[in-house]
Amino acid sequence: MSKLELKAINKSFGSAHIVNNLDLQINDGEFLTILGPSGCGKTTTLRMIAGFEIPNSGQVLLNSQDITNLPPYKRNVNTIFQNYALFPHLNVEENIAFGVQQMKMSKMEINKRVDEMLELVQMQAFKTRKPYEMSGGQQQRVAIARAIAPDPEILLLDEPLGALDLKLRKQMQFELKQLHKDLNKTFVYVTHDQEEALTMSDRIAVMNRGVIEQLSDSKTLYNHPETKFVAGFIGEANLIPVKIENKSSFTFEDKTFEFEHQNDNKEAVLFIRPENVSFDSETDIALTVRIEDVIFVGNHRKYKLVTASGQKIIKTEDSSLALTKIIGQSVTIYLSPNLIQIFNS
Amino acid sequence: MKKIRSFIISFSAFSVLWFLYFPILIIIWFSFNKESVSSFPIEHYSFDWYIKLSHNESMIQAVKISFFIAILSTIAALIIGIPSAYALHKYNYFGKNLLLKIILLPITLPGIVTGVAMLSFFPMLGIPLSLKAVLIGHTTFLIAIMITQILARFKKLDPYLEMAASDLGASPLRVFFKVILPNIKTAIIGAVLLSLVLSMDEIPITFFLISRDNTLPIEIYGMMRRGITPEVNAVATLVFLLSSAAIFMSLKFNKEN
Amino acid sequence: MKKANKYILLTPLLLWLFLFLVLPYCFILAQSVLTTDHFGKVIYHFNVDSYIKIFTNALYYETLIRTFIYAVIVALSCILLSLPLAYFIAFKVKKNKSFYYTLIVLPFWMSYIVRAYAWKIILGEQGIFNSSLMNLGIIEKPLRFVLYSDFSVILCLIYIFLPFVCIPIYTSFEQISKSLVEASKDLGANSWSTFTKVIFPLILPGVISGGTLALVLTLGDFLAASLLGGPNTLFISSIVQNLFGTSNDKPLGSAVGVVLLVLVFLLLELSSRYEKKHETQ
Repeated sequence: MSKLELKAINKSFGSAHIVNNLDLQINDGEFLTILGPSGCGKTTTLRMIAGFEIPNSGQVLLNSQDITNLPPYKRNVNTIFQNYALFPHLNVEENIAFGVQQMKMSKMEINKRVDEMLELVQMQAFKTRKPYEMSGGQQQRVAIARAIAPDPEILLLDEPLGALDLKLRKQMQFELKQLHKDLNKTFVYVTHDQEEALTMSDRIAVMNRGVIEQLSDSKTLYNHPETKFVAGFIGEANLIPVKIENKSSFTFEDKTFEFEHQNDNKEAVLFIRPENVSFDSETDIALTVRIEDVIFVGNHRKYKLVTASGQKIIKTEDSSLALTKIIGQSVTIYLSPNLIQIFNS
Repeated sequence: MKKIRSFIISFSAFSVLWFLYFPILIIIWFSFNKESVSSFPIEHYSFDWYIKLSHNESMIQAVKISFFIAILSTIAALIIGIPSAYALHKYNYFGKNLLLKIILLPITLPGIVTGVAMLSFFPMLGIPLSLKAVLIGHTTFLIAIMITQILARFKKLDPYLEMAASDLGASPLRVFFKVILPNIKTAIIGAVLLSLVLSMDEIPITFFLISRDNTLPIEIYGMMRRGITPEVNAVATLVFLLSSAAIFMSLKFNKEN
Repeated sequence: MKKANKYILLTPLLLWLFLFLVLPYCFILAQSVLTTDHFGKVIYHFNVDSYIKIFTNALYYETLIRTFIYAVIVALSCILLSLPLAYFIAFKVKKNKSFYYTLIVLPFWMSYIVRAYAWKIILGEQGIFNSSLMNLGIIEKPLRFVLYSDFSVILCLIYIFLPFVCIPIYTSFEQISKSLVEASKDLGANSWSTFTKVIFPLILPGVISGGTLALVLTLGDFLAASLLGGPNTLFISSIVQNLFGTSNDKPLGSAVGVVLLVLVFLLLELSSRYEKKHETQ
C-alpha cells in the first residue's frame, strides 16, 4: 500500500493538455522528486496533490482514501511555496501557529508545538519578527516550520529553493535532506534542476510533456536512462543519430556495427556519456574523429570532437591525466557496448 | 538660455499653484472680516461670523444630517462593497466587464443624470423624496468608490497567501477573515475616509433627492444663492480645514504602510 | 458549494444596482418618450416630441452647442495650465515630490461650492479683482461682466476642474523614464525637440484622459452656472435642472438628459479608443 497514489490523472487547461494519463505511486517516508523542464506539468501535478487543481479525470489517493475532489483545507497535505507566502500581517510565531490553530489543541499545546518547530529550523531568535524584517533564507525556514507544524501526512515542496543564491541553495538542500531524515515524513519535491534532484532524492520521476518518462533512483537514471529525453536531461549526453536495419546492428556513416537492441524504427539515436568515450580501450565500435577543440573546465577536460559527416561528439576526462592530443589531430574513439544505448528518435 | 527656460517653467508652475490656492486663502481671510459687505481691503477683523455660525440652527441641523448620511451610507457601501470586490477579484463571471462599467456609472456619468433618474424612479419603488432617498443615492455612488479602491488593493495582494492559508487547513471563511481582511485593512480605511468626505460634499444627486431637511452642502448652496453673507466664509473655512485634516490623516496613514 | 459562493457573494450588489441604478436609468430613457398634461403630470403616451423639440427648438440645440464649446474651452485651459505644473513636479522637483503632489490633490478633495464661492468674492463689483484694478488706476468703474456672466462661470469651472486634469497629466509625466530623455538628447535633439517628439507623444494619453474628464464634468455642471451665471447664462444641465424643477416637464428633461448621456458615452468611448491605440505601458 503506497502512501500517495495518482491514478490515470488527466488535466487540461482549455485546449492545452498539461498532464496526460499520469500514474505515480509514492512510498511512505520517501523523498520523491518530480523533475522536468518548465511546462512539463510537474507543478500542476503537485497542485493536484495539494488540492489547488482538480484533475479532469483520474484519482488522487492518500492512504488509499480518495481525496481527488477534496478542497485543500480538508487535506492533510501541506505545501512550501517558492515565494514562501508568509502572512505579512503575522509574525514568525503566529505564522507557524496558523495551521495548528485549525486543529483542536489547547493554547499551551499550540505554543509548545510552535517552540518545537522553531527549534527544528533554528529560528528561535526570530520568534516575534515580521516577514519583511527577514532575509530570503530566514523566511524559507519559517515557511518550512509552518508547513510541518500541523504534522501533515505529506509535505509538498514547489521549487522552494528557486529564489535563493547558489551558496544558500546548496546549504538548504543539505538541511532539507537532513530534515527529511529526522522527521521520517514523505516529501514530494518539484524542481527543474537535475543536479538538485540527483543529490536529494530517493527516487526521481522525470516528467516531460505531461507524462513520466522514467521513475528510478539517481544512479539508475544516470547510468540507464530509458528514453532519449531522460538521457539528454540528466547530466551531459552524446546523442548521435544512427540508422537501423535490424535488431542486431546499427549504421553510422555507412559503417555497420553489431549491437543487440530493441529498436525497430529506421531512425534512432545512440546515447553515450562523455566520460565513457575512450581513446584507448579498444572495442569493435570505433569511429574516426578530428579534435576540434580542447577546453579546460576546472577538474575535468572537455574534447570537442567531430566526425567526417560533421557529427559532434563530446569526450571528457580528468584534468590530472596527461594531455597527449592536440587540436586538429585525427584520432579514433572507442565506444563500449556496455555503456551505450539506442533510443527511438 | 537653459536658465531662462527653467525660470519660465518654475514661474508658470508656481503661478498655477498660486491660482489654485489664492481663492481659498481669500475666503479664510474674509471670514475674519467684521463688515458684512465683502469689500476690499478689509477694515476690521473679528470672529463675529464664526460666533453667528454657531447659533445658526438650520446650519447645525444640516451638519448633523450630513454626518448621519455620510456615516450610514459609508457603512452600507462597505457591507455591499467588500464581499463584491472580493468576488470580482477572485472569480470570473460572464459579463464581468459590463458589470464593472455599470458599477462605475454614478462616477462616470454627470451627477445630474443619476440624480434625475433616481428622482423619477424612486417613487415607483415607494421611496419618496426624503433623506431615505438621499441615503440610497449616496450609498450607490459610494459603492463605486469602495469597489474601485478595494479591488485595486486586491490586485496587489500576493495570490499565494490565500493558497497557503487554505493549504494549512483554513476554511474559505477563515481565510477571508484571518488573512485577506487584515491585509486590505489600509485600503478599507482609506476608502472609508474618502467616502465620508465625498458624501459630505455631494451636491448634484442630493439636490434632486431631498425634500425638507438639507444636508450641509445643500444648505450652503442655498445661502450662497441668496447672496454673500460672511457666515458662508466662516463655514467654507471650517469645511476647508476639516477636509484638509481628513486628507492629511489618510495620506499619512497610507505612508505609514 | 464553491460554485454557489461565487454567486452568493455578488447577489447583494446585483440586487442593489439593479433596483437603484439600472432601473432608474432605464426609466428616464422610457420617460423621455412620454408626455405631460398641463399640470405637469406624466402621461403614458408614446411619442418623440421631446426629442423633436430638442433638435428643432433653438433654445435647446443652441444651448447644447454653446455648452459644448464652453466645455472645450474649459478643457483646453485646464490642460494648458496643468502642463507647466505637472512638468515642474515630475522633472524639476527632486525632493518633496509627494508634498507637491499633495498640493495638487488637496483642492480636489475640497468642497465644490466652497471653491466656487470664492470667485463670487473675488469678481464682485467691490471684490478684489475690481478693487485692485481701480486702485491701480487701470479702470475707473468696476467691470460688471466679470461676475454673473458666462465668463465667471467658465473661469470658475476651470478653477474647479484643474486638479482633475492635472493629476492624470502628472501621472503620465511621471511614467516617462528619465533614460528616454537622455537618449533623445544623446541622439542630438535639443530640449524643444525632445519635448515635442518624445515627451509630448508620451503624455498625450494623460492629456486626453484629463481633457475628456473636464469635458464631461463641464457638460454635466449646473451648480457653477446657478451660482455665478447671469440672467442670460444657460448651460445644458441648467436646462435639465429647470425642467425637473420649476418648469416641471419630466419627459423633456429626461430627453435632454438622454442626449447628454449619449454625448458623454460618445466622448468616453472615443477617449478610451484613443488610449488603447496609443498604449505605451
